[in-house]
Amino acid sequence: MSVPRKLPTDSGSEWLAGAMWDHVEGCLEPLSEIQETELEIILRVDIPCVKRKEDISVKLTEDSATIEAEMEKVIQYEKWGTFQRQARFFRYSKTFLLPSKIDPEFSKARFKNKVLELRLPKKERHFTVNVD
Amino acid sequence: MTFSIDGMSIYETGLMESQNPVILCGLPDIGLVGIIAVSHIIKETGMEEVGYIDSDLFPPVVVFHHGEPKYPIRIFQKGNLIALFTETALSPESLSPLSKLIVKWAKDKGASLLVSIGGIGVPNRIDLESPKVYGAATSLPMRESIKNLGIPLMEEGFLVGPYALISKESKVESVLNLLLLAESFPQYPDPGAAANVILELKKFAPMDVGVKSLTERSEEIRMNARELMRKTTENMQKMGKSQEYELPMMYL
Repeated sequence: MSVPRKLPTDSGSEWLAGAMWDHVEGCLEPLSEIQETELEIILRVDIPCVKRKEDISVKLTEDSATIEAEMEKVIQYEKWGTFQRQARFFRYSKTFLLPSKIDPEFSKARFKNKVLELRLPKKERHFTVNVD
Repeated sequence: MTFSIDGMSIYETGLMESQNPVILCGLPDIGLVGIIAVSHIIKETGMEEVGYIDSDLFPPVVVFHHGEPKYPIRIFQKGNLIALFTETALSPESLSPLSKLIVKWAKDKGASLLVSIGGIGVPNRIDLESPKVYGAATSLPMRESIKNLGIPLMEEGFLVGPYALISKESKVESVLNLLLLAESFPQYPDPGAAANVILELKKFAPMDVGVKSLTERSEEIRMNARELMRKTTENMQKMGKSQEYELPMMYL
Protein backbone atom coordinates (compact mmCIF):
# COMPACT_ATOMS: atom_id res chain seq x y z
CA MET A 1 0.00 0.00 0.00
CA SER A 2 2.97 2.30 -0.16
CA VAL A 3 4.39 4.12 -3.11
CA PRO A 4 8.13 3.54 -3.38
CA ARG A 5 10.12 6.68 -3.85
CA LYS A 6 11.71 7.15 -7.23
CA LEU A 7 15.46 7.03 -7.16
CA PRO A 8 17.46 9.52 -9.19
CA THR A 9 17.91 8.45 -12.78
CA ASP A 10 21.70 8.86 -12.64
CA SER A 11 21.86 5.62 -10.69
CA GLY A 12 20.58 3.91 -13.85
CA SER A 13 20.26 0.58 -12.09
CA GLU A 14 17.07 -1.39 -11.76
CA TRP A 15 18.43 -3.27 -8.78
CA LEU A 16 18.34 -0.04 -6.82
CA ALA A 17 14.60 0.30 -7.35
CA GLY A 18 13.82 -1.19 -3.92
CA ALA A 19 16.34 0.93 -2.02
CA MET A 20 15.09 2.82 1.00
CA TRP A 21 17.37 5.80 0.49
CA ASP A 22 18.01 8.59 -1.97
CA HIS A 23 21.50 9.97 -1.44
CA VAL A 24 20.98 12.82 -3.91
CA GLU A 25 18.02 14.25 -2.07
CA GLY A 26 19.31 13.21 1.37
CA CYS A 27 16.09 11.35 1.91
CA LEU A 28 15.24 8.05 3.61
CA GLU A 29 12.10 5.96 3.21
CA PRO A 30 10.77 5.19 6.68
CA LEU A 31 9.64 1.76 7.83
CA SER A 32 5.89 1.65 8.18
CA GLU A 33 2.93 -0.57 8.93
CA ILE A 34 -0.72 -0.27 8.06
CA GLN A 35 -3.48 -1.81 10.14
CA GLU A 36 -7.07 -1.78 8.94
CA THR A 37 -10.04 -2.09 11.27
CA GLU A 38 -13.74 -1.90 10.52
CA LEU A 39 -13.84 1.83 11.16
CA GLU A 40 -10.35 3.17 10.59
CA ILE A 41 -6.93 2.75 9.05
CA ILE A 42 -4.01 3.00 11.45
CA LEU A 43 -0.73 3.98 9.84
CA ARG A 44 2.44 3.88 11.94
CA VAL A 45 5.72 5.26 10.62
CA ASP A 46 9.11 4.81 12.28
CA ILE A 47 11.07 8.06 12.10
CA PRO A 48 14.12 7.89 14.39
CA CYS A 49 16.23 11.06 14.65
CA VAL A 50 13.18 13.31 14.27
CA LYS A 51 12.88 15.32 17.46
CA ARG A 52 9.85 17.59 17.31
CA LYS A 53 6.33 17.15 16.06
CA GLU A 54 6.73 20.54 14.38
CA ASP A 55 9.22 18.91 12.03
CA ILE A 56 6.64 16.49 10.68
CA SER A 57 4.29 17.22 7.81
CA VAL A 58 1.27 15.02 7.09
CA LYS A 59 -0.78 15.58 3.94
CA LEU A 60 -3.92 13.55 3.43
CA THR A 61 -6.31 12.94 0.58
CA GLU A 62 -9.17 10.46 0.61
CA ASP A 63 -6.85 7.85 -0.89
CA SER A 64 -3.36 8.68 0.30
CA ALA A 65 -1.14 9.93 3.08
CA THR A 66 2.13 11.73 2.47
CA ILE A 67 4.60 11.95 5.34
CA GLU A 68 7.57 14.30 5.34
CA ALA A 69 9.80 14.66 8.39
CA GLU A 70 13.01 16.57 9.05
CA MET A 71 15.69 14.95 11.20
CA GLU A 72 17.10 16.75 14.19
CA LYS A 73 20.51 16.82 12.55
CA VAL A 74 22.14 15.65 9.34
CA ILE A 75 23.15 12.00 9.53
CA GLN A 76 26.37 11.56 7.63
CA TYR A 77 27.96 8.30 6.51
CA GLU A 78 31.53 8.58 5.22
CA LYS A 79 31.23 5.38 3.20
CA TRP A 80 27.63 4.42 2.69
CA GLY A 81 27.47 0.63 2.31
CA THR A 82 28.99 -1.00 -0.74
CA PHE A 83 28.20 2.25 -2.49
CA GLN A 84 31.35 3.64 -0.78
CA ARG A 85 30.37 7.27 -1.19
CA GLN A 86 29.72 9.87 1.38
CA ALA A 87 26.01 10.07 2.02
CA ARG A 88 24.07 12.59 4.06
CA PHE A 89 20.48 12.19 5.11
CA PHE A 90 18.30 14.79 6.73
CA ARG A 91 14.69 13.88 6.07
CA TYR A 92 12.15 11.12 5.54
CA SER A 93 9.55 11.06 2.82
CA LYS A 94 6.92 8.59 1.72
CA THR A 95 3.47 8.57 0.15
CA PHE A 96 1.13 5.74 1.08
CA LEU A 97 -1.84 4.60 -0.99
CA LEU A 98 -4.55 3.74 1.51
CA PRO A 99 -6.56 0.51 1.25
CA SER A 100 -9.92 2.36 1.73
CA LYS A 101 -11.16 5.91 1.30
CA ILE A 102 -10.73 7.98 4.45
CA ASP A 103 -12.15 11.17 5.87
CA PRO A 104 -9.10 13.47 6.18
CA GLU A 105 -11.03 16.03 8.20
CA PHE A 106 -11.49 13.73 11.19
CA SER A 107 -8.06 12.12 11.10
CA LYS A 108 -5.75 12.25 14.11
CA ALA A 109 -1.98 12.07 14.48
CA ARG A 110 0.39 11.61 17.39
CA PHE A 111 4.17 11.32 17.69
CA LYS A 112 5.61 9.20 20.46
CA ASN A 113 8.82 7.20 20.92
CA LYS A 114 9.89 8.37 17.45
CA VAL A 115 6.87 6.72 15.87
CA LEU A 116 4.22 8.74 14.04
CA GLU A 117 0.78 7.20 14.35
CA LEU A 118 -2.11 8.29 12.12
CA ARG A 119 -5.66 7.19 12.82
CA LEU A 120 -7.64 7.71 9.66
CA PRO A 121 -11.40 7.13 9.91
CA LYS A 122 -12.90 5.38 6.93
CA LYS A 123 -15.28 7.37 4.81
CA GLU A 124 -17.56 4.40 4.34
CA ARG A 125 -20.67 4.83 6.50
CA HIS A 126 -21.75 2.11 8.90
CA PHE A 127 -25.27 1.49 10.15
CA THR A 128 -26.35 -0.59 13.12
CA VAL A 129 -29.38 -2.78 12.59
CA ASN A 130 -31.44 -3.86 15.57
CA VAL A 131 -32.16 -7.56 15.73
CA ASP A 132 -35.82 -8.23 16.52
CA MET B 1 36.57 -28.45 12.41
CA THR B 2 33.36 -28.70 10.42
CA PHE B 3 29.96 -29.81 11.69
CA SER B 4 27.47 -30.55 8.88
CA ILE B 5 23.83 -31.59 8.55
CA ASP B 6 21.54 -31.56 5.50
CA GLY B 7 23.93 -29.49 3.38
CA MET B 8 24.44 -26.85 6.03
CA SER B 9 27.70 -26.51 7.94
CA ILE B 10 29.27 -24.84 10.93
CA TYR B 11 32.94 -24.07 10.36
CA GLU B 12 34.88 -23.67 13.59
CA THR B 13 37.86 -21.48 12.85
CA GLY B 14 38.96 -20.66 16.36
CA LEU B 15 36.47 -22.14 18.80
CA MET B 16 38.05 -22.83 22.16
CA GLU B 17 37.11 -25.84 24.28
CA SER B 18 34.58 -24.84 26.87
CA GLN B 19 32.63 -26.81 29.40
CA ASN B 20 28.85 -26.75 29.07
CA PRO B 21 28.72 -23.42 27.25
CA VAL B 22 25.70 -21.13 27.10
CA ILE B 23 24.82 -20.52 23.45
CA LEU B 24 22.91 -17.37 22.46
CA CYS B 25 20.94 -17.17 19.21
CA GLY B 26 20.44 -13.82 17.51
CA LEU B 27 18.38 -14.65 14.45
CA PRO B 28 16.21 -12.30 12.36
CA ASP B 29 12.72 -12.11 13.82
CA ILE B 30 10.19 -9.61 15.23
CA GLY B 31 11.81 -6.23 15.90
CA LEU B 32 15.25 -7.74 15.20
CA VAL B 33 15.37 -8.09 18.99
CA GLY B 34 17.73 -11.09 18.98
CA ILE B 35 20.12 -9.60 16.46
CA ILE B 36 20.32 -6.26 18.27
CA ALA B 37 20.73 -7.89 21.70
CA VAL B 38 23.37 -10.41 20.62
CA SER B 39 25.26 -7.80 18.61
CA HIS B 40 25.40 -5.60 21.71
CA ILE B 41 26.58 -8.48 23.92
CA ILE B 42 29.31 -9.40 21.43
CA LYS B 43 30.54 -5.80 21.38
CA GLU B 44 30.28 -5.15 25.11
CA THR B 45 31.98 -8.36 26.23
CA GLY B 46 34.63 -8.31 23.51
CA MET B 47 33.70 -11.74 22.17
CA GLU B 48 35.94 -13.06 19.43
CA GLU B 49 34.90 -14.44 16.07
CA VAL B 50 35.45 -18.20 16.12
CA GLY B 51 33.45 -19.58 13.22
CA TYR B 52 30.68 -19.20 10.69
CA ILE B 53 27.71 -21.03 9.19
CA ASP B 54 27.27 -21.57 5.47
CA SER B 55 24.95 -23.36 3.08
CA ASP B 56 23.80 -23.30 -0.53
CA LEU B 57 20.38 -22.36 0.89
CA PHE B 58 21.71 -18.96 1.96
CA PRO B 59 21.67 -16.02 -0.46
CA PRO B 60 24.96 -15.40 -2.31
CA VAL B 61 26.08 -12.71 0.12
CA VAL B 62 29.27 -11.74 1.93
CA VAL B 63 29.56 -8.74 4.20
CA PHE B 64 32.67 -6.56 4.23
CA HIS B 65 34.19 -5.50 7.54
CA HIS B 66 37.47 -3.52 7.43
CA GLY B 67 37.99 -4.72 3.85
CA GLU B 68 37.58 -8.38 4.67
CA PRO B 69 34.70 -10.36 3.16
CA LYS B 70 32.93 -12.28 5.90
CA TYR B 71 30.14 -14.82 6.13
CA PRO B 72 26.90 -13.14 7.21
CA ILE B 73 26.18 -15.77 9.91
CA ARG B 74 29.05 -15.93 12.33
CA ILE B 75 29.91 -17.45 15.70
CA PHE B 76 31.54 -15.55 18.55
CA GLN B 77 32.95 -16.73 21.87
CA LYS B 78 34.25 -15.51 25.16
CA GLY B 79 34.93 -18.23 27.68
CA ASN B 80 31.79 -20.23 28.25
CA LEU B 81 29.59 -17.86 26.31
CA ILE B 82 29.00 -18.51 22.61
CA ALA B 83 26.85 -16.34 20.34
CA LEU B 84 25.37 -16.96 16.90
CA PHE B 85 24.73 -13.76 15.01
CA THR B 86 23.43 -13.03 11.54
CA GLU B 87 23.69 -9.89 9.45
CA THR B 88 21.38 -10.99 6.68
CA ALA B 89 17.71 -11.95 6.36
CA LEU B 90 17.11 -15.69 6.15
CA SER B 91 14.72 -17.28 3.70
CA PRO B 92 11.98 -19.50 5.19
CA GLU B 93 13.46 -22.49 3.28
CA SER B 94 16.77 -22.19 5.12
CA LEU B 95 15.30 -22.08 8.62
CA SER B 96 14.55 -25.76 9.17
CA PRO B 97 18.03 -27.08 8.32
CA LEU B 98 19.62 -24.13 10.12
CA SER B 99 17.65 -24.82 13.29
CA LYS B 100 18.53 -28.52 13.21
CA LEU B 101 22.17 -27.66 12.68
CA ILE B 102 22.24 -25.22 15.59
CA VAL B 103 20.55 -27.61 18.03
CA LYS B 104 22.59 -30.66 17.06
CA TRP B 105 25.77 -28.60 17.27
CA ALA B 106 24.72 -27.27 20.68
CA LYS B 107 24.22 -30.87 21.81
CA ASP B 108 27.60 -31.86 20.38
CA LYS B 109 29.21 -29.04 22.37
CA GLY B 110 27.45 -30.15 25.56
CA ALA B 111 25.67 -26.80 25.86
CA SER B 112 24.09 -26.21 29.26
CA LEU B 113 21.63 -23.76 27.73
CA LEU B 114 20.58 -22.69 24.25
CA VAL B 115 18.96 -19.27 24.47
CA SER B 116 16.60 -17.96 21.80
CA ILE B 117 16.33 -14.18 22.01
CA GLY B 118 13.39 -12.66 20.19
CA GLY B 119 10.36 -10.43 20.20
CA ILE B 120 6.61 -10.59 20.41
CA GLY B 121 4.93 -8.04 18.19
CA VAL B 122 2.48 -5.92 20.16
CA PRO B 123 0.33 -3.25 18.51
CA ASN B 124 0.50 -0.90 21.50
CA ARG B 125 4.33 -0.87 21.69
CA ILE B 126 4.28 2.87 21.02
CA ASP B 127 2.76 3.37 24.50
CA LEU B 128 5.08 1.00 26.39
CA GLU B 129 7.97 2.75 28.10
CA SER B 130 9.49 -0.55 29.24
CA PRO B 131 8.43 -3.60 27.25
CA LYS B 132 7.76 -6.76 29.20
CA VAL B 133 9.89 -9.86 28.63
CA TYR B 134 8.27 -13.30 28.62
CA GLY B 135 10.01 -16.61 29.13
CA ALA B 136 9.43 -20.17 28.02
CA ALA B 137 11.58 -23.29 28.16
CA THR B 138 11.69 -26.90 27.08
CA SER B 139 12.21 -28.21 30.63
CA LEU B 140 9.99 -27.97 33.70
CA PRO B 141 12.82 -26.96 36.08
CA MET B 142 13.74 -24.11 33.74
CA ARG B 143 10.13 -22.98 33.56
CA GLU B 144 10.10 -22.95 37.36
CA SER B 145 13.32 -20.91 37.34
CA ILE B 146 11.74 -18.43 34.93
CA LYS B 147 8.82 -17.91 37.30
CA ASN B 148 11.04 -17.78 40.38
CA LEU B 149 13.14 -15.06 38.74
CA GLY B 150 10.02 -12.96 38.30
CA ILE B 151 9.74 -13.37 34.54
CA PRO B 152 6.21 -14.02 33.27
CA LEU B 153 5.79 -17.30 31.42
CA MET B 154 4.54 -17.34 27.85
CA GLU B 155 1.60 -19.42 29.02
CA GLU B 156 -0.36 -19.92 25.79
CA GLY B 157 0.02 -18.92 22.18
CA PHE B 158 1.79 -19.69 18.94
CA LEU B 159 5.37 -18.96 17.99
CA VAL B 160 6.30 -18.95 14.30
CA GLY B 161 9.75 -18.75 12.78
CA PRO B 162 13.32 -19.78 13.55
CA TYR B 163 12.86 -19.94 17.31
CA ALA B 164 9.84 -22.23 16.94
CA LEU B 165 12.00 -24.65 14.95
CA ILE B 166 14.87 -24.43 17.44
CA SER B 167 12.45 -25.13 20.26
CA LYS B 168 10.96 -28.19 18.54
CA GLU B 169 14.36 -29.58 17.63
CA SER B 170 15.61 -28.97 21.18
CA LYS B 171 12.84 -31.18 22.51
CA VAL B 172 13.84 -33.94 20.09
CA GLU B 173 17.51 -33.66 21.01
CA SER B 174 16.95 -33.06 24.74
CA VAL B 175 18.75 -29.74 24.59
CA LEU B 176 17.66 -27.19 27.17
CA ASN B 177 16.18 -24.28 25.22
CA LEU B 178 15.27 -21.05 26.96
CA LEU B 179 13.19 -18.51 25.06
CA LEU B 180 13.25 -14.87 26.12
CA LEU B 181 10.78 -12.82 24.11
CA ALA B 182 10.27 -9.09 24.62
CA GLU B 183 7.25 -7.06 23.65
CA SER B 184 8.37 -5.30 20.51
CA PHE B 185 7.40 -3.18 17.55
CA PRO B 186 6.33 -5.84 15.04
CA GLN B 187 8.02 -4.28 12.02
CA TYR B 188 10.56 -1.80 13.37
CA PRO B 189 13.97 -2.55 14.90
CA ASP B 190 13.47 -2.33 18.66
CA PRO B 191 16.62 -1.63 20.72
CA GLY B 192 14.46 -0.93 23.80
CA ALA B 193 13.07 -4.46 23.66
CA ALA B 194 16.59 -5.83 23.13
CA ALA B 195 17.83 -3.94 26.21
CA ASN B 196 15.13 -5.45 28.41
CA VAL B 197 15.86 -8.97 27.14
CA ILE B 198 19.53 -8.53 28.02
CA LEU B 199 18.59 -7.51 31.54
CA GLU B 200 16.55 -10.70 31.97
CA LEU B 201 19.14 -12.87 30.22
CA LYS B 202 21.74 -11.84 32.80
CA LYS B 203 19.71 -13.70 35.43
CA PHE B 204 20.47 -16.97 33.60
CA ALA B 205 23.88 -16.21 32.13
CA PRO B 206 25.73 -13.63 34.25
CA MET B 207 27.74 -11.27 32.06
CA ASP B 208 29.27 -7.85 32.40
CA VAL B 209 26.99 -6.08 29.95
CA GLY B 210 25.24 -2.77 30.50
CA VAL B 211 22.42 -1.53 28.34
CA LYS B 212 22.97 2.23 28.67
CA SER B 213 24.95 2.51 25.45
CA LEU B 214 22.35 0.40 23.66
CA THR B 215 19.62 2.76 24.76
CA GLU B 216 21.72 5.78 23.81
CA ARG B 217 22.36 4.37 20.32
CA SER B 218 18.72 3.42 19.88
CA GLU B 219 17.93 5.86 17.08
CA GLU B 220 21.13 5.09 15.19
CA ILE B 221 20.36 1.36 15.38
CA ARG B 222 16.80 1.94 14.23
CA MET B 223 18.08 3.84 11.21
CA ASN B 224 20.82 1.41 10.27
CA ALA B 225 18.69 -1.72 10.62
CA ARG B 226 15.81 -0.55 8.43
CA GLU B 227 16.68 -2.62 5.36
CA LEU B 228 17.32 -5.82 7.33
CA MET B 229 14.03 -5.25 9.15
CA ARG B 230 12.11 -4.82 5.91
CA LYS B 231 13.55 -8.01 4.39
CA THR B 232 12.89 -9.88 7.63
CA THR B 233 9.29 -8.65 7.64
CA GLU B 234 8.83 -9.94 4.07
CA ASN B 235 10.17 -13.34 5.10
CA MET B 236 8.04 -13.41 8.26
CA GLN B 237 4.94 -12.84 6.14
CA LYS B 238 5.91 -15.77 3.92
CA MET B 239 6.24 -18.09 6.91
CA GLY B 240 2.83 -17.19 8.35
CA LYS B 241 3.97 -15.08 11.28
CA SER B 242 0.44 -13.71 11.64
CA GLN B 243 -0.52 -17.00 13.31
CA GLU B 244 1.09 -15.63 16.47
CA TYR B 245 -2.03 -13.49 16.84
CA GLU B 246 -4.32 -16.53 16.87
CA LEU B 247 -5.45 -18.49 19.89
CA PRO B 248 -4.44 -22.12 20.31
CA MET B 249 -7.34 -24.57 20.15
CA MET B 250 -6.55 -26.63 23.21
CA TYR B 251 -6.77 -25.29 26.73
CA LEU B 252 -5.48 -27.50 29.50
